Amino acid sequence: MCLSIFQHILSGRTKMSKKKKITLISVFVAVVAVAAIVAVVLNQKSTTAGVKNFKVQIVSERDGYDQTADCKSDAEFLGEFLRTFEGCEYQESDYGIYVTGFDGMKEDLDNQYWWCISVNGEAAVTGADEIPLQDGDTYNFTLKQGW
Amino acid sequence: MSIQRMTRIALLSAILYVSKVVLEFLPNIELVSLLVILYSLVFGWEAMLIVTVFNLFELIQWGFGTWWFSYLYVWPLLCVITMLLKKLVKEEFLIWAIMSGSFGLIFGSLFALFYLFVDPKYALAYWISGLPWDVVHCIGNFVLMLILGKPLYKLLKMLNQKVYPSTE
Repeated sequence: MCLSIFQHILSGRTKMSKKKKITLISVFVAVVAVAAIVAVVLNQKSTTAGVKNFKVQIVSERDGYDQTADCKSDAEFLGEFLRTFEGCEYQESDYGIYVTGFDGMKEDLDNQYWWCISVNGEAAVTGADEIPLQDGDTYNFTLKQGW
Repeated sequence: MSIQRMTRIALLSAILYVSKVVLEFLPNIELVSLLVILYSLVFGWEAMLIVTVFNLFELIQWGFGTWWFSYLYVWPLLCVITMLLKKLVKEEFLIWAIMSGSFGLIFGSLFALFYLFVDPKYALAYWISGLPWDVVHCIGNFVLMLILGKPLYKLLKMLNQKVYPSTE
């Protein structure tokens, strides 16, 4: 089939037969469908049900603050937990929860201060609403300066 | 470069830019791919200059960011692909639609290519989380080319022959 399409292209004719068109569209639709399935599967985050015990560390050099707390929650995602976490200040955005401060230690965008989220020491590559809560994990929030 | 040619590049890049701005409210549904392919088909390598001006408009509107480096090669690449396929595909717009759709599908990965040098982990996360949007991009590009490709191509060709008969 691929060969016949290739031959058709090389032959330089401008009109394709109906059959070839249908086959071509079918192959394309199949490829797109596979891509869509892959997209959904890869973006599915595995979460665990039930109560999870984990650590939350909050660090702000600017405010001379460094505290770690043992927490427990049955929330599936970090964002869900943060909404109930005392002292956490946040905004809802189109991309999910956006942390603006802890216990009055606010971000300061004019001076390029922002809260960076790390999971087990590695900077998170997704928002808190997409980070699954796992038993034994450490979630670190550090006030960073500079973009 | 003649003033005629400069005016043409200016106008076509303005159309390209406006087409992007008016559809910005619809994520990943855009006419830029369609127009870049058509520009390459009708005006040849001049399309490279048109997308360069378009990239500068983007820079002026959004300010400098690392995303701009990706723009610098993504759109010219579409011109190159079109120019390479031009002789083979000719005016078969079903194939152009599939080509445009496929470009939409790999858009995220092309964009992430630059981030690979910055942070491979981020590049991968960026690509994966954008994949559903790449699928939307693909379908949008395919449908738009299928519907608008041929009529717009004919219109551009006709206008080009009328306004600049000497260039044909």
